[in-house]
Amino acid sequence: MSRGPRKNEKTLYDRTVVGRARSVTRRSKRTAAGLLAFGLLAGGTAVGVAPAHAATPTPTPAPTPAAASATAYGGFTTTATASPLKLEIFEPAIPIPTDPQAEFDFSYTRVLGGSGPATTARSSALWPGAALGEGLKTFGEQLGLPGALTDNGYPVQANAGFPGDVTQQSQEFLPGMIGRVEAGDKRTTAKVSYTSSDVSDGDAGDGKTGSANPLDALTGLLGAKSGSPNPLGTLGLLIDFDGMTSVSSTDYDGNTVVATATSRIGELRLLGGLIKLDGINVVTKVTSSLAGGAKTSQTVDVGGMTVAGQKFSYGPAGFTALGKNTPIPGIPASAAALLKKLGVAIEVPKPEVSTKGSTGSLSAEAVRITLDTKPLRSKLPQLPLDKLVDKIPPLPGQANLLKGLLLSLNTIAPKVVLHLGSAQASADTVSLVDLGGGAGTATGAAGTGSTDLSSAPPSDSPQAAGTGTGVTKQVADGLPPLRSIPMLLLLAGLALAGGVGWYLRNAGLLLFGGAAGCAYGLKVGIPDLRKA
Amino acid sequence: MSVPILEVVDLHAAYGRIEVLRGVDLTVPRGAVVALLGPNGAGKSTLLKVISGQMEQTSGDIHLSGVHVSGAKPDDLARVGLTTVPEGRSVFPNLTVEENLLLMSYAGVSADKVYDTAYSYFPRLYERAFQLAGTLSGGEQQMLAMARALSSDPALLLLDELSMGLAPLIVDELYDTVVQIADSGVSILVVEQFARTALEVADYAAVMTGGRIVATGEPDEINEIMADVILGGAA
Repeated sequence: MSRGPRKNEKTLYDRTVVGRARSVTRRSKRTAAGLLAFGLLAGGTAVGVAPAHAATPTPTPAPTPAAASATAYGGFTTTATASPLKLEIFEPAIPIPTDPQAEFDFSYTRVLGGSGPATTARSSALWPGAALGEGLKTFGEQLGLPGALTDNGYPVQANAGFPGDVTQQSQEFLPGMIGRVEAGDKRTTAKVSYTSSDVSDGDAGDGKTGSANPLDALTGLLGAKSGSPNPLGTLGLLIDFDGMTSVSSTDYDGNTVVATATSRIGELRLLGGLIKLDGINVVTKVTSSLAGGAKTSQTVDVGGMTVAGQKFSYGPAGFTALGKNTPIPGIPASAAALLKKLGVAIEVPKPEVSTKGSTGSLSAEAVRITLDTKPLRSKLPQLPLDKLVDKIPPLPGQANLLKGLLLSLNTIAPKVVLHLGSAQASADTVSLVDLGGGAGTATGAAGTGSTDLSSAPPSDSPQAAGTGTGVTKQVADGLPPLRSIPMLLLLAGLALAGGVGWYLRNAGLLLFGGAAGCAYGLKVGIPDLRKA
Repeated sequence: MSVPILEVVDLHAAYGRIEVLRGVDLTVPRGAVVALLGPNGAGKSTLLKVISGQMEQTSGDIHLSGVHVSGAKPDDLARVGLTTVPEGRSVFPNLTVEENLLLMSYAGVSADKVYDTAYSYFPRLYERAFQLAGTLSGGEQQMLAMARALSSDPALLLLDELSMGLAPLIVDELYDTVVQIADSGVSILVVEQFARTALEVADYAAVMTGGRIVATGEPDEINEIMADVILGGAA
């Protein structure tokens, strides 16, 4: 029988070389499969740790110009401050580190609005300025007043905030003098009036707001005129008024924000009636939107003025005295000179308007009256305070400061500035911030202030275009992609940190570990006693 | 002042929950013979065991030539020159004297050198070279143990109860050899219950009782106060 290989019989070559080659091939396949599996695993891991936008390569449609809703803003800020009568006292002798040293805002209202929306509203019958109003507790502590008086802050104020616990509040500061504040997701208002009925924004002259009949706005003033008290009490001889109303408000609807400040005074009497002003109505309004930019409008009305019995009417050219077309400060020369001798100056400031793009601000007041007591003070004889102070025995501790204050009485000549019908408003809107993320831009739902990044609709959806008021934010959380430079930097940083940690640990052992074995600082080991 | 070859600082050791050493402080100057005396159960042998690495201390420090020694094994210490002659001699009774000495050649010292060292210090061993160690007298067995220790060229020799069970004459003979060894520059810490002979050869002495060193000083000083110290400590 032949021992040669038959057709289907495997030879030694088949069983060894070919088999070895097949084995190599199988190993290669297994290796390749293993590598493939590892690659898939790594890829899966990368997908797992990479941010959502890396895991889903399909780009989310970028907002088209039309879809971006040119009128929808990304954020806004508004302020509106109104104070029908603002009194500023400049006297350096008053130990209050502010300028002016004292400030009183009668029927003060202020609203602040911001993205979210997050708004606050404040109203006060008599606001003593930010230094005292906000920091009354600190003043009390410094002056050693009982904590019960100042711990709760300035009491004559009503506040509301949105979002917040108190979105609505009202307070009757004095009989007939009511302050109301209300903060909401569309509108925030602060009002103070001498009436129990509600009052509304004044007409800024843009034909969009305000009562149809201007007299309606004064209804409350007229109604409260007879019984309104003067918060200044006996100082009413110097400044007395009937009927003051202020309204500050801000509106925000996702496209347009509006800030409106309204100040009204029924009648104001200064220096015991020497100067009278009536029917003051100042309204400032700033509207801001991305589409239309910032627009300002104002109304400054003064019904009339009487100085020492001389009547003046207010018109486009200023105050007019009984048919004489003499603008203020063109008060008749004799009267102006008389007032100047008394230290009284009357100005009609021009509204300060500033607009740039969608940022606008407007500040207006009807009349500014400056009462400088220096001329009057110079007419008074000097008190012999130095002799009086010399007779006072030395006082303990800081009480000696009283002596200095007494001596300064001779030099006190405060300047009082009255701002009548002060109203400021400002508004600003900004567009959505596109951080380049494409996917994940989101707009907060109007009214809630929340920004749901994961489930926000594309910005071209009607919902986002119409109501979004939140701030856009790119979804950029998570680790960067595996094969990106940031990830390489991250890994390099981790490796570097590990190396530094290892080095520090060993260095620490070298520094302290050797000595730690012996409390006497000796070397640790086994010495050769024959050589030591 | 040179660094002492052995310094024990606040050494504590215990057998289980029974604390035997309760803060031992002891110093052996280089080249000196220090006698550690004390009654039975004072902790003397335990101290030697801890120093030689046969037992681990619970706390405290052992410094050898200014080096902190921690967790060293007995064979490590023997290689660097710390040799112990244990209590009870521990010779191989079924081996001859020469065979007992020959075992030391496995530590790296040649057999001839081992024999020379042994027979130069103890000529009587040469006479008993081929006699089984178990048939030697107690004094001769102690000599063999010391000869075996000396063959490793010690720098610090710890002798535990050298005189135990020996006739006074033999003890004197052994201590004469100790003096010879000390003269060669070897530092010796000898533990003894019977103070008289040890104090005669020692440079310094310490009295241990109750796990503590209660007195240290010159041999004459210790000789005067030892009875009071030991009896007082025992009381």
